[in-house]
Amino acid sequence: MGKIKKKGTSGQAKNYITRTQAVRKLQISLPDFRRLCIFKGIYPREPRNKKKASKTSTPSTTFYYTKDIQYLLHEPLLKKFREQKALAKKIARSLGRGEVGDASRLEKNHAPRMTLDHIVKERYPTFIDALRDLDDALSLLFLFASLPSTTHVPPKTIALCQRLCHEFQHYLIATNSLRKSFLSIKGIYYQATIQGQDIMWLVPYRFVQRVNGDVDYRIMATFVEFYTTLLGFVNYRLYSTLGLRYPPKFDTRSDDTGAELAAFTLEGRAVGDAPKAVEASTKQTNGNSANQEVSREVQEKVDKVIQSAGLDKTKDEKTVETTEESTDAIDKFEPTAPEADTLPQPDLSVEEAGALFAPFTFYISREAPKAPLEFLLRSFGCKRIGWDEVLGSGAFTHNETDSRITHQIVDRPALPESALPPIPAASENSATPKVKPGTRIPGRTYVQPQWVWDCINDGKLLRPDLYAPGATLPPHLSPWVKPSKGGYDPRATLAEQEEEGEAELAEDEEESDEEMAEASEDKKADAKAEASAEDDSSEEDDSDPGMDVADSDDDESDSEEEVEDFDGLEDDAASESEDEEETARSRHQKELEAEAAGLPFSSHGGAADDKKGKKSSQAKKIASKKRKEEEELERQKMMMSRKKRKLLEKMMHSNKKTSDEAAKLRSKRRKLEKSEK
Amino acid sequence: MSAQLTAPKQYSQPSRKGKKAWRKNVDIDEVQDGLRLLKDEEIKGGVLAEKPSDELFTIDKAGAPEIRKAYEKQHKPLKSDEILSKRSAIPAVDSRKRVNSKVTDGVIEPKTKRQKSDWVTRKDWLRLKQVAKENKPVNLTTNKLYDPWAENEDETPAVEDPQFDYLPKPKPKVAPDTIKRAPTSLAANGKPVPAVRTPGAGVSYNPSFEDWDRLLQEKGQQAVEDEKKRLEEERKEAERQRMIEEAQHDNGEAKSDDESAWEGFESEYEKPEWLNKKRPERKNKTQRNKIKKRKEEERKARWEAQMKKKQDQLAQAAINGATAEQRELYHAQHSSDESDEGDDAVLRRRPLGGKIPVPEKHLEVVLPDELQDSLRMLKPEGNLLDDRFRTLMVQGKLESRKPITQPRKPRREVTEKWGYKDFKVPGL
Repeated sequence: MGKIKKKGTSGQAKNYITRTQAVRKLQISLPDFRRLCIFKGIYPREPRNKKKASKTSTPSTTFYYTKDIQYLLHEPLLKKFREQKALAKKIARSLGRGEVGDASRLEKNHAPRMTLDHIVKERYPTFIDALRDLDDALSLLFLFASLPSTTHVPPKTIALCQRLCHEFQHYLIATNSLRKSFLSIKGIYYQATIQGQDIMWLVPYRFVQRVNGDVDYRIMATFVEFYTTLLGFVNYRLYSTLGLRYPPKFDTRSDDTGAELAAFTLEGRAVGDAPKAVEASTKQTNGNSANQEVSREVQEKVDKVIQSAGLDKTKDEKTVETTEESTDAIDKFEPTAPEADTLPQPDLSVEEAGALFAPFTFYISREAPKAPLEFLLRSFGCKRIGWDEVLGSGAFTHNETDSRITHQIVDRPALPESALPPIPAASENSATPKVKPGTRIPGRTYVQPQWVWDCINDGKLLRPDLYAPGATLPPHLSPWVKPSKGGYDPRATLAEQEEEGEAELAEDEEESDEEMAEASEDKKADAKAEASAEDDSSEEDDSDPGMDVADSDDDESDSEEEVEDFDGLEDDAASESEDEEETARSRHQKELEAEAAGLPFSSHGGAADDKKGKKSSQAKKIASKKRKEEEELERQKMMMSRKKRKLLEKMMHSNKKTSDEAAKLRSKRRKLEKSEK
Repeated sequence: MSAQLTAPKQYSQPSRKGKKAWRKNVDIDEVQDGLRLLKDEEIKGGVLAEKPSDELFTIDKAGAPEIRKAYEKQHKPLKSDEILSKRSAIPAVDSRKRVNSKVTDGVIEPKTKRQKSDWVTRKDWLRLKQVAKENKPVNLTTNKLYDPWAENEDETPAVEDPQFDYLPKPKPKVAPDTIKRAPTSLAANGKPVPAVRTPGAGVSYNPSFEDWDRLLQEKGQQAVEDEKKRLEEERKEAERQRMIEEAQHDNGEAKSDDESAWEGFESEYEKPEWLNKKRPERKNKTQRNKIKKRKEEERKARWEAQMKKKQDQLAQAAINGATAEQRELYHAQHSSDESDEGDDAVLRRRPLGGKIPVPEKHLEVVLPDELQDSLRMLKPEGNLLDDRFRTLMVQGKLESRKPITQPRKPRREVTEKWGYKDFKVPGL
């Protein structure tokens, strides 16, 4: 007989502690315990066997690691919580005695000061750690910044959240580090890259947040408290890396008049010279260029000295310079072999992002969402943004007729003249001349807001006529959804995603059953799919003057094609027999038609016979190749374990489904393109 | 000064002995007395004879105290008058602090308007009450801004006193490794749920038709299934209620008994079928051990055979050089379970602690009649606040629980006092 061991002294019973036990051990109230856990990042745990972990028979309990709770005993905040409790008791006593003055004095002078600084440092030992966890913080703070103030959400908290969010946005604008954005039905997604970390957050649309009772506001307020501290420090760090003073100058008066981002003025932190404003309008003329000139002069002098001294160091220096220059540009990952993986391609570089909207002047109409548009335009290089007066102050211009405006963002269809109400005549004394709604001022481009988002996600300027007011917009695609292998990609050209020999086959088919296809097409075509196809096809012939920036075939899609070719093989093998069948059927159809017309079939196909023969030989070659591959696959399948075989079959089935669908869409598009020609 | 003027003479001589009897010693006592008197008067404030009469005499206007006493004895004053007459005409020294005692405009303020130094507004008072109730007095000083991740310049080294070097140094507080462990995700596949999921193609405000249709179909099917489940549960509940109802109505007697008796069957108390079956003998310990051993061996053999098979296959594959296929297979395995983030819509069955499940995710899809292609007319779906709260729970950072809107009050029993019945009839 072994040694008798007491129950509950080792193993799970010792490693885990229930919530009630933890609260008793720390001698604080349950709400305080919850706050402390949130601050310190201590989460409920799940023992493998709840019965073994708990000493009671109560089944529904939350467990924590005993070590975590033991560690909490050293927490300075715990002491603060206790002090708070003691003080609250004193205040309650004074109030009970009617000594209100005493109570308020106690509260004013003796309330313990709670800081979460040390916790921020403890939970995020490095700055990168903090950046990694910024998704949640940003989403929550942007959400709270747009909430209406209630008893649960005091206006002070909202103002703090707004300020921090705007400061963060200013950093993104200053560094052009925003990369992607997406308009979803929930809100607007943004993705920025800061120091190599991708940060994504979700911002709600304005004025739609309902506040309901399902949410525990005390818990959310605790999170907000922690995250505001975190974002404050992150902002400080980010600003100081840029050499900017933090907090930036905040103009309360212009904030009251609705200038959201424009209420802040960034200032340099240089000791010697006076703080120079890096405000949008003055940014072009700041001392950067002068600095460069100085450095160039110095460089020349140094060069001269070195030459006179006859040293050979110049080469080295030059190489150093070039490496410094090229650090910003990131190499594209190109697969070396056709069977290699497609690697995620790097996004826009900082310069590209900063230059996208730089030469333009925008005007945001009254009905368009100003806040996201302003943020996006600014962070992609636009310096001059005007908007209607009702959208708040801080604009480049409130005058819609300003001749400097190159683009106007409108989100309202053009209405006929009769549908509009008559304009009130008494608008002479207003500062800005009123423009009749619906009128177009010549010399500028009118676009819908989606144009901005699509341009940003594509990294180039798109044709604005597709996004003209009143036009049916092309679908707004998510920048994070990459087209699956073998799937249809509306962004790529047809030639890039076609399978081997698909176009030829399609041509053959079309020759044969043109009438049939046309008849059936109208029935089948979905308006959406058509629109998308149309958009992309027209996107390729980038003939708009002054608009074409990037050539349509990127390296990315090239590599994709290669890969696709590789993995599309076995799917093709499966569908190849079907294709053959189809061609046979079409031939039969042709024969029938010829018969009906009273012509001999041979004469009909006589001229094109050798051409067809050539094509068919090519098709045969492809088919044989496919067949061989299929056989090889079958052979290998035999060797696999059943589980793996099942998996492979499943995968192939789904692949085939997507490729079939893609082929269908491609054929539609091919027809459309042909009809356009 | 003496009146009679005589010639100077010597002292009267009671005896001739001594120097006084000498001729030259003249008696000048008179002169000296006079001088002394003069001196005395001068000491007392001047020579009386030379003083003017004003200084020497006063007119008595006070009246005699005896007479006053006698008068007061006859006419006694009231006590109140006595008290009042004690008050000093000079204002007393004010020991009270005043907010602005120095500067006044000369107009005496009414007392109600006078500032109190410890005045607390009603709003403040209410806030204080709330603070006392919630145990949350906070100091609202803004945080000092600095860079917590900056390089620490100088960690001030603790001063080491050689006097106490025999004492063990205090150990630094080291965080346990458990604190760094990721929270338990509630996703069905157990993978961590990201704070912000990348949006799918179907949730675009202006989606492409295929993506949107796919999403709609998916969500629609799910909704139909949920509705089916709900109906099924409703039906079951109704059935249960009906059974309960029936059980209440029948009064415990077996109905069928009489009828069967009438028909000639008489059910006896017989054992159920399964009791008749012969149960297997109990195995003893050695038998059990034997069985266990055998099973273990069998398992081992099976496993080895499998491993051998696999090895053979691998070797063959290497011979065939089907590297591409292997890679393909690898991809296949990974693509089926590709995303390394958990789905926050499909959760595991049991929440972390307690019985309350995590609230359902809001349906985030645009219905066909609401599909718009303009940003202006977009009707946003879902509730981000709920979503954020739910995400925290799904990530395992919070336990799911119902917010207490109305806390339970302590139960009080109501009893009737019987005191009025405890009376005594006075006669008995």
